[in-house]
This record gives sequence, structure tokens and C-alpha cells, in this order.
Amino acid sequence: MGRTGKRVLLGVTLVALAATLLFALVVTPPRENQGGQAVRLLYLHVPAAWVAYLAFSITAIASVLWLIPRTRRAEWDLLAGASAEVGVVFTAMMLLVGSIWGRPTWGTWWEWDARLTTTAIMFFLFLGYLALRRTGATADERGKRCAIAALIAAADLPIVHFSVTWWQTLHQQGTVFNPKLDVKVNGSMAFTLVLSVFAFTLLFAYLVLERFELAQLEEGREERDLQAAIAERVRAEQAVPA
Amino acid sequence: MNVLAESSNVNYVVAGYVITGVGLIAYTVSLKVRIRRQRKQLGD
Repeated sequence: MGRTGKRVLLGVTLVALAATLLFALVVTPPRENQGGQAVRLLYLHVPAAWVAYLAFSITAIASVLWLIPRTRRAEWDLLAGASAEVGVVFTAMMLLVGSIWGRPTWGTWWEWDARLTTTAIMFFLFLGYLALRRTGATADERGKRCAIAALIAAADLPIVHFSVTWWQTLHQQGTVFNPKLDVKVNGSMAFTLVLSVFAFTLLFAYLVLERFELAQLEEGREERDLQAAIAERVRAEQAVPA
Repeated sequence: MNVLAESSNVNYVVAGYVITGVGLIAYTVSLKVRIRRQRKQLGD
């Protein structure tokens, strides 16, 4: 996507985020039976969780495509890394907002509940993945090492999702994707939730495009530095008298 | 009592939205700065 395309995407994203803020904080009334004012945090927590799932799923798919020799392209590795970094940002946001929401709702900032614990594990697994990406190696070595690590980390995704079904602890079941597909919100709440998911998905797309461009530029610089180092070495060897 | 609880809940809502907003803006700006720096280095 060119610069104009990205600017248009950013514009649409900002409009969608502004509309989300308006509906989440002003238009949609709080519900007494759903935590009163605190329920407004739903419009940050749920879309952040959705984006985290989406981001890490893209990382896993791009990693598989990199591992298959027939579909292997450097771009899949860069996309996996870009999506994982943005996913980690949204996971941190989900955990923070969830903790802030938990205080008035559950009376605690943190509980070693199944959903919270598996989500924290997912966060640290992908943080480790990002650290692994920074270790020195050739592009091929790094690609292979990171693709395998991404798939191991992604194995936690279904565990996070089904944790509220398998272990019925403190965290409530999914608002939309629960075993009975019984949607727990309706009316203006449902509309605002869909709007917030849409806005966050657009923001995710924009941030991944930006991070992907940065990764390409970093690769270009590394390549240029490598070429410069080789040229320097050749010059130095030629300068040594026989 | 309910009014007090509700006003305390509003503080949590404000904290959630402010932290999210600041975090996302900071990350977006950091990406922009890093892209500009890389472009500058490649253009040198």
C-alpha cells in the first residue's frame, strides 16, 4: 500500500475511533446490572482482545507460509514480526484495561484466574518471540528460529480462548463467542461494541502496515551495512602488500 | 452510597481510556519516528 493509501486508512481509522469514543462514553447508557459506568471499559477490552487474537493468528499463518519452501518469501517473516509486535501492544492494553475493570467489578486488580493467567502467558511468550527476533543471525536462520517460536507461542491462543469454558473461574464467558453463541449484549451496547471492534481492526491494519514498512527499511539498512563491511574488508585485504 | 460508587467507577473508566489513548498514541508516534530515522540513514 502506498503513502496515499495509508493516509486514507489513517483518516478512516481516526473517524472510526472518534465515533467509538462518542458512542462508548456519551451515547450508550451504562447498565446497572452490568457494572454501571465501569461497563464502558468493555469497548476497549473486548476489541483489544480481538486484535490480539487476530495479530497472533496472522503471525502464526505468516510463519507457516515462511516454513513451507514453496511459499517462502522474506516478506512473510517481516509480516509475522510486525503483526506480533502490534499484537503485544494490544495484549498489554487488554491486560491493563482488564485489570482496571476488575477492580470495581471483582474487587481485585489481578486474580490467578484461568483466562488472566493464560493471557499473561501468551503476552510473555510473544514478548520472548520479539526478543528472539533481535538476536543476531542471517535472515534465513532468524526466519526459521522465529517461525518455530511463533507456532509454539500460538499454541496458547486456543487455550486462552477456551479457558473460560474449560475452567469456570472468575472471568466471565465470552460476550459473543461462548459455547451457546448467546450474545450477552444488545441494542446500543451491541452497536458500540461492533463499532469499537471495527475501529480497532482498522487501527491494527494501519499499525501493521507502518511496522512492516519499518521492518523493510531495517532490512535494507542491514543489507547496506553488510555490503559496506564486505567492501571495507576487500579493500583492506587488497591494501596489504603481498 | 450508589452515587459514591458510580463516581468512583467513573475514575476507573477515565483511567482506562487515558492509559489506552496515551499508549496507542505513543506507539504510533514511535513507529513514525523510527521510520523517519531509518529513511534518513538509508538516504545518507
